[in-house]
Amino acid sequence: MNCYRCGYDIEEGLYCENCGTDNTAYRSILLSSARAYNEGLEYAKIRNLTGAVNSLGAALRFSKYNTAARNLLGLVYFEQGEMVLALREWVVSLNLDPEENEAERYLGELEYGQGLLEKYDSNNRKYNLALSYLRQGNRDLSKIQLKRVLKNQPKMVKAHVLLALLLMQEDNYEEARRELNTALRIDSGNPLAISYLNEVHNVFRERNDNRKKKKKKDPVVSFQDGNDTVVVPRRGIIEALDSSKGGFLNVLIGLLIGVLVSVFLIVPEVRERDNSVAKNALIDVNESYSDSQQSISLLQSEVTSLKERLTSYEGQADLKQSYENLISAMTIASSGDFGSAENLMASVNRDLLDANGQQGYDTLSATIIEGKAKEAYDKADGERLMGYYAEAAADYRTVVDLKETYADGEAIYYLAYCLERDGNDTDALTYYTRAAELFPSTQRGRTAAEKVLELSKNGAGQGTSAE
Amino acid sequence: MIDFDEELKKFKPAIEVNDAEEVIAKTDITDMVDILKMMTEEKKAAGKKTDEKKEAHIK
Repeated sequence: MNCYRCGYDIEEGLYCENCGTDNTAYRSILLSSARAYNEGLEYAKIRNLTGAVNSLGAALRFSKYNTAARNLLGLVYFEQGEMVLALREWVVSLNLDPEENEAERYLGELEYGQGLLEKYDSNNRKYNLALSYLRQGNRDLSKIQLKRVLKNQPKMVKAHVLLALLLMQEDNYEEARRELNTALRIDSGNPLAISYLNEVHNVFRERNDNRKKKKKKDPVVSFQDGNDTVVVPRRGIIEALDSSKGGFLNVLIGLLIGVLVSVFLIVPEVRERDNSVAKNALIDVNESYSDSQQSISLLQSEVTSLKERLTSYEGQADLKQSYENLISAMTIASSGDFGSAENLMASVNRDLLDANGQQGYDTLSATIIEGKAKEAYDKADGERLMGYYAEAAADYRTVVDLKETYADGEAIYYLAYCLERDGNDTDALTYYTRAAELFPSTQRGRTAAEKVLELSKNGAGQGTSAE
Repeated sequence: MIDFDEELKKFKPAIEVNDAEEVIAKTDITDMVDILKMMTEEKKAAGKKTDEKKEAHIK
């Protein structure tokens, strides 16, 4: 154990030989942290994730350097479907303990593992949309959205619980029970799920009790008719209908039932189906469409058109070569290799091409720029989240050099941010100023403007400019 | 009996990745060891002041 004041190694005993500090209290704190961690680990093993979060949180409040507790807490959050909280714990863990830390591997898998982070983020947005639908009273839209979320991420506990609440509101207790049981299989200590399941059991118990109660009826019915008391045997409805007088009545009742069935069951069902189709379409429209998919489709149709032109052309070698290179560059770009496509484009003579060829050339150039910018931007984002600000700044600069307004100003804003975090206030001020100029009405633009004031007050901008 | 609207208030929106930076920056990682260090420093500073007053009084 090291002394908490001077860091001197106290091999045995509690007093530091170096500074004389009594480490008794510190030792107790470390033991409490270890105990809380063990408790959290036991909870995690029996899948009581809520209990694990509480205990591990306590372990870290005792000692923030309990790396094992912090990493396990991140894993528990990950299992519950709380991606950003998991990310937070692992990033903090890596910052406090950078040497041989498992958190580095977890972060790597999350950020670079087959778009996991994007997938979970997309799910979070769908969950938030479902919650806002529910708050607006759109139960059907909310239910459809929640089912989509759970199809993509079956372990999202809060989505199961919210769906259960919705189903209980619709009186569908059987399905609600299934959702709650699923939630408790993931997190056996979730308090909302436990409370709702109790409510569901109460409802089932009440319904059972009501079914068991049967009223005992008298076999006869008596009533007053003037001065006489008339007593007749009680007849059930079925007996009454079976009599000869009841025949005509049966026909009338049958007709009435037929009309009621069509009005109350068939017509609403048809309307409901139409509404469901419309709602699904509405949700699909609300989700965003990938620009690069459209670009690739556009490029493929350009390739087909240019190939047709080339087969019928008889002309100069340079012109033919330019078209061939252009077609090859389009084919390579459609596979995502923008670097090789850019190299091929360098050997295309745009001036020799006709109007259609030049249009194809310009479209491809724009697509290559977008593609390269996206690659650099995604890389820079990952580096920024892991705290590698110098590397992130270099990649963001690549993006901004390609396209200054990329991602509606996010790229230039984060370039300035990473430069500031790396200690280069002068260049940071330059890019914050540019971001504020280009995007004055966005959140990033406004934050950039505030940063410009802050850095100007601190005396940044006195050195050489970045441009 | 469960009140749907009251229960709905317990559900908070999920945090999106765009907000991750803000969440991480705002994390408070003060622990009991930090508090212990603060108390020790305060005690030491208070002890120093008392010693200085005593010395001045003796002089």
